[in-house]
Order: sequence, then C-alpha cells, then structure tokens
Amino acid sequence: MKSPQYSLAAHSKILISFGVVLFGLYGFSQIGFAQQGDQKSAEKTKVESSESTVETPAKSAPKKNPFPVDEESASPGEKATPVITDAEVAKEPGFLEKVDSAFATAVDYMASVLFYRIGAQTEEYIVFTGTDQYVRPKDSQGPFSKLTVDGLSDAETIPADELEALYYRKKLIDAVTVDDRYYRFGRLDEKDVEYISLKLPAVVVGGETYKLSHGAKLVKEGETYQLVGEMRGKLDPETTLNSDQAETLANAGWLKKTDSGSYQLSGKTGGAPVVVLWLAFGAIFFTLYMRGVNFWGFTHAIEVVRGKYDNPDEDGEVTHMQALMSALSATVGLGNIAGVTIAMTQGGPGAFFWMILCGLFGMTSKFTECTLGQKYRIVKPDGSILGGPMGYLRYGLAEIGLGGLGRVLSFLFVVMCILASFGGGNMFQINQSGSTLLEQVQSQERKEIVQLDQKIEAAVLAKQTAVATDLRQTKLDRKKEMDAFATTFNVIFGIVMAILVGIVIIGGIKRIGAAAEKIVPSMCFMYIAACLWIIITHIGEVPPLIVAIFTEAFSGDAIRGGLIGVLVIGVQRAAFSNEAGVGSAAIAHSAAKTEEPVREGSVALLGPFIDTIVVCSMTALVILITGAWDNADWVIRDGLSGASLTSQAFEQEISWFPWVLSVAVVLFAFSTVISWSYYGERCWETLFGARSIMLYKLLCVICVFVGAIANAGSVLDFSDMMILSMAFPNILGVALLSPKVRADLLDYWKRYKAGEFKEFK
Amino acid sequence: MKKNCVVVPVDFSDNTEAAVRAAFEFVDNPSQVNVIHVLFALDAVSPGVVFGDVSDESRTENINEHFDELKKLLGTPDLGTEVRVGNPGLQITEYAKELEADLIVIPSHGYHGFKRMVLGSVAERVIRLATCDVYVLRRNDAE
Repeated sequence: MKSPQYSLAAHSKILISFGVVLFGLYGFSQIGFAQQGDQKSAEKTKVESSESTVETPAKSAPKKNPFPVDEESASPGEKATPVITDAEVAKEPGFLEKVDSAFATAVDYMASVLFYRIGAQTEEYIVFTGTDQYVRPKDSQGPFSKLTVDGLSDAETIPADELEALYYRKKLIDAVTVDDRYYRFGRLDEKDVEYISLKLPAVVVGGETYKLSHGAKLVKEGETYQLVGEMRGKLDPETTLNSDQAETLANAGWLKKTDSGSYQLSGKTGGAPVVVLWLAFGAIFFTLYMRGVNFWGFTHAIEVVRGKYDNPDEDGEVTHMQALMSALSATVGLGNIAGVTIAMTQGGPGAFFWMILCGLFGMTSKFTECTLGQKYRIVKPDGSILGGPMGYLRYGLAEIGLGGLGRVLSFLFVVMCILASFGGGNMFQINQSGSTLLEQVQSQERKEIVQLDQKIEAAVLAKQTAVATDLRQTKLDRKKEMDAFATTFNVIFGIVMAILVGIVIIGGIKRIGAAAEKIVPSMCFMYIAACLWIIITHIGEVPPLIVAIFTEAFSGDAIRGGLIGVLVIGVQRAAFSNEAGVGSAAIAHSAAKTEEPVREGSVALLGPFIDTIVVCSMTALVILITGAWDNADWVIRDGLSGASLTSQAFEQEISWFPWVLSVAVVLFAFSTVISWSYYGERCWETLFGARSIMLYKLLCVICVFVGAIANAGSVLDFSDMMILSMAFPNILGVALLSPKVRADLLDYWKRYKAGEFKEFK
Repeated sequence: MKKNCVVVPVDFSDNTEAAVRAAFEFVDNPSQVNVIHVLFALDAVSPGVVFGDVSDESRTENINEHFDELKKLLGTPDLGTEVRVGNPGLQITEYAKELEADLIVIPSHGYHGFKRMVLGSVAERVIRLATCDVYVLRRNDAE
C-alpha cells in the first residue's frame, strides 16, 4: 500500500503549493506594504527617535549578507566579517515541482529567444541593503546578538520574545513563519546558529541620514542615482543620491556588491522583445502591402458576415458568420479580461493607444493568413475541411519553389500548435479560470484573514500575548479550512471540467460544445454592457482620460520605459489577445463555405477588431476610469493583478458583478479549450494522421485535469510561449506568400466593384 | 481464381481507381465488386459540427457523391457501395463478413518510421481480422 500513500502525500504537497500561490499574492502585498511602511516610519524615526536608525562610522568594514552570492565580495587584505550561511532545510520537491524545474530550463531558454530584447540599453544602478544580522547559538533560548566585524556584540541584543513584534512591524527579512519561530537556521564559523536579518529603514553615515528601504534600487541618471518607484518603475526625483553619497554608502557597506566588489551594478533595460517586433513587423508590412484593406475592406466584411454572399452550395462546413464565431471563441477569453488589465497597470493610459493600434494593424495580419488558409485548404471526401498554416506553408511555399522551407515551417508550426493547444489553449485556461472562481468563492474568507492579521498585529504591538495567541490559532484554523477547501475545490473543478471537455471531444456530445460556444457571444455582450454602464456613470471623466491616453502614448510619462516601453506593453498584450499573425484562426476560417479565399479573409479581419478594439478597450477603459491601474493599495499592498484586479475594479462599481465575471471567465475558458482542441486536433491529424486522434483527445482531457490541480508555473509559461512562437514560422511563410494574396485581393476587388458577385440575401 | 464477391476499401486517393480495377480481375462481373469507405467518428469540436450542420448523414451524402463519380469514371453503374463510420479495419472486415465476401483487395499506404508506428496499418488489421483471403496492393509512391 505504499504507492497510494506516497502519491497522496505528493498530491497534497502540490495542492498545498497551489494554495501557497494563491496566498502568494497576499504575501507579495506584505512585502510591498513593508517597504512603503518603512519609508514612512523612516521619516518619523528621524524626528522622534534613533531607535531604528543605526549609526555607522564611515570607516566600518563592508557588511555581509547571508546569501552566498555576496560571500565572495570581501576584498582581500581586509579583516573578514563572519559570514552566516543559510541552513534552512528546503522542502523535498514533489513530482510536479521536479517536472516544473526541468521545464524551467526550457522555458528560460525559450524566453531568452522569444523575449530577447532588441535595442535594450545597459543601465547602471545601485541597490541598498540595509540589514543588520543578529545571531544566537542553535537551540539557545536567549537573546540574539548583533553580528559585527569583530564577531557577536553583547552590547546590542534583541530578546527572543520581541521577534514576533518585529515580524509584524515588517522588520524581518525572510522570516520563517511556519512554526512561528521567525528566525532562520544558519551556520556561522562552522557552528549551527539561529539568526534574523533586520531591515533598516535608514542609516546614518558620516552624520548624514539616508532614508532608503532595504532592497531599494536606484538607477544612474546622469550624475545622480534616482530611486525606482514601485508603480511601473517610475523614477522618484525626490529621492536621489549623488555619486559621492553613493560612494560613502558603499564604503560603509550598505550597498549590494558584485563578486568583484563593485557596488555599481548593471543590467539591461528597455528595448522590445523580438517576438513583439516580429508580430508588429508582420502587421505593418501586411497593412502597407495590402494597401490598408483593414480600413477599406471593413464594410464589405460586414456585408459578407451578414450573409449577403452566402452560397450554401459551395464547399465548406460553416457560413462566414459561424466561422468568425468559431475563431472568436478561441481568442476571446482571459486575454481580454486579465491581459488588458496587466497592460494598463504596467503601461498606463498610453498603452491603451498602442493596443488599439496593434488591433487595427493586426486586422491585416489576420486577413492575409486567413485568405491563405482558405486558398490552400483541403476538402476531404466527406466534405470536411483541413486547412490553416500547415496547408499554406507546405503547399503554398512549394508552389513558389520553396517546398523544403515549407515543409520545415509547416512541421514547426504543427508541433508548436499542438503544444500550445495543451498549454496556453488548455491548462493555462483551466488553471486561471479555476483560481479566479476559487478566489471569488473564498473572497469572504480572505477578507477575514486580512482582518485577523490586523488584529494579531495590534495585539502583539499592545503586548497582549494571550489575545494574540488566540487570534493566531483562529487564523491558523481558518487557513487550514481554506486550504482544505481549495484542495477539494481544485480537484472537483478539475474533474468536472475534464468530464465536460471529455464528453464533448471524446464522447462527441455536440450539444454541450455547441451550447458553450454559443454562450460566449452573450457573455461577451453582458460584459460589454457592464463595462459601458461603468463608463457612462463616469462619463465626465472620459474627456480628460482620452487626452491622457493620447498624450501619455507619446510622452511615456507613466512608466520608466518611456514611449518605447509603453508601446511594447500595449502591443504585446493586444497581440497575445487577438493572436493576429499566430496563424491559429486560419484553421477555423478555412472551414467557411466559400470559393473566394479573399472573402473569408475579409471576414477574418473583423476578429482583431472585435477582440481588441471592442472587448479589450472595454476592459481597459474600466480599469482606467476606476483608477484601478494606478491604485497603489490594490496593486502594491494587496498585490492584485490580472483577473483579480479587474474583478476588484468591477466590485467597486457593481458589487455583484465579480460573480458574473468569474462564471464568464470559466465559460470563456471552456470554450477556448474546445476551440483550441480543434486546432490541436487538425495539427495532430496533419502530423500523425486521423487514426490516432483519440490519443490526442485523451491527452487533452488529462491536461484539463492537470491544469486544474497543478501549480506548474513554467510548464504553463512554456506552453503559453508556444502560442507566440507559432508566429515565427507563420509570419515568415505568410510574408513570402503575400504577393499571391495581394494579386487575389486586387482581382477580387475588381470583380466586386464590377458587381460580378451573386447576392443571396 | 475467380471470386464471387470482392470487397475493396477506398479512400478516394490517387490509388483508388487502380485498386478497384485490380479487383475487377478477380470477378466476372463488376457488380460482384463492393467498395467501402469508412468515415472517422464525427468530430464534435469542428466549426461545422458546433455551428454548422455537418452530421454523419451529410458526410455520407458527400461520400456517395464521390462513389457516383467513381462509378462514372469506371463505367460500372452497378458497383456495390457502402459508407460506414468507425474503426476502418473493423468496419471493413465486418462488411466483408456480412456480404460473405471471399476476397478483400486493399491498397497499402506503406508508411514508414514514425507514422507507421503511430498509425499501424489498416491493411495489417484487415489481414488479422478477415475470415477471407486478403490481397494487398503495394504502393510504390508511399511516404
């Protein structure tokens, strides 16, 4: 009976770690708050007391940090300060964590290629490390003594019972709270010790007070160092150091140093990720080359979608309208609700402008790829369609004498698309929608925990030990209940979703799939209606907002990265959401009943319009109007981002809407999984033939369940990146084939203008 | 070696016509040859099923149109035809049993390597499951 127990243990670890991630947001908020709090308290400190301000003579030797990276930094010849090596025992990684770390390497590699930042600049910066370490021998119950260059100082000690109060005042770095001990295990001079690292909100060097929180980063701007703020990395011109002051701080040992002993650190900043440039290049090139068909072809696209030219006798599976709905169900989803919010918090109002622009140009990428998908589709004997990038990359490129390249690109696309259909189109969706729903279900409990924390802190500060102990127990019990609930919830959510997906894709119960896909448009309308309601109730704020959107798009004042930074954020999130240039939609659009590829292409250009220019804009405007994008309490203190920040913004306006939102997110996710499983299936069929599709379907269902219970961060990142990497083979192939599309377009338009097309409606 | 009833599975690829013609060699009258096309189970997630009106009936209709073209091409209007849904190997041998056929003529795709591993071979399965003789046509242009 060993194996079930083992797997159960491993399983609970996974689930606990998943729970930890949920609370990770909360944890992050603590850190963020701590840093803010420190700055505030530092100001007070200066006036009221010198309790936490430490006088350090400028001649003192470099301080030591417990982390190994700094061990090397002692300059030879100087008297070495004792170094504490951290000896906290790491938890035995579970199976999924091991898988995760194996993938992490692959993900890092992929990210270094996909997100390689072109045009990045080197920045010089310094990092303030205001910590003091206090140590006591292991298993001693006594006070902690300060670690100085001459060893432990008995003059400066901290009694053990003050640790908790320090913790709640957010003075401890990396405190271990599991068993309420707050100190960490370490080794000093080959002896086992217990130690704490105490944050210093300010230091006095050479008679001057420096108010900087631990870990503060200051970048070199000209001759001075400016503090990087927490909101969007904006520089804080109020807090600057000149190079002499930096030098002084460094000599006193308050700055982080490199292995070679330099306190001037450097890193890359700015630039644009190569995949974003690639997508943008494609969109701009196609728009220019197709002479702006996204603008002048728009009304024709509406005509076609309304069924004016629907000929039921032409080859294909669905009408133009149905093909568009099918393609949209794969793209409308978390990207519109969570991704856009991320863009606004990172890039400010200006990112909205670039997002819209990316949507506009992306329309031509979609037009071009979907026209090709339709042109090179295969109509199978039973009337079903096999089309998309795998078709045009292979057969289209072979037509222009690039058959070898075509085979390679088609193979790359197919493999990436299958992986994307497991990851970004499946596990990612299930995982994110599950946690959004769980967060909503547990929202009351989470508020309770926050209140309990505040009460505990108050009790501890008031030295009401008994009250604090009681409260702590209550909190512990509540958390246990929440964790247990989360575990059950995730498993049940995973099973329910896996069953639902299973009966649709394996069981072939078309009604469920059809119902889910058909609910998406109505959910979309509800969402847009709610957004419009919020916008209308704040209509007075709209004109200045529009001004801000335009001015900040070019000034880039909202973020540190300036114009390029804002542009990259807007474009990136829009491209993630509308998938223009990725090629996936061409698979759905090739199923349309038509013998005119250009006609289906023009329908496809409505995709990015609806996804980005309509739906994404709604989210963006709500986030901007409610001020959620710039709300430090929510973003920094509470650590909200993505879907949870969107939900918070809605809650402020329409208290019950978060419930609708979380249900909508689950439905969007479900329909995205179904749609992506179709994309994956077609690619699987191309690669392995139709007879092994059952294997693909089984893998899909397994992924749904794993996605719900796993906290496999890099596995998810990896698959999500696969969606973007599909753009490399796709845009290259589409660009090579674009002369054909252009010729077809011009010919089609001539015939259209001459009134040669038969109208059916 | 004349046969009474011959079954020929077809997929409407380029070798279809050759396979049926090969089957004619075994019989006195083309009406003794029965061609079968096996459809894969309906895919519940394709746009045509979710939004459109693709069904097994509509797919069968399309296949029957292809059969009509094949009959015209071969000049044999009384060629027997059948469309079934399911596992090809199983459906082909079932059909042969029902007709009490004494020969199955089957073209082999001759896949190699990876595709061979994943797909196996309909021909192999037919050979294993059939209760009558099986004549396998080797394709030379196989992948």
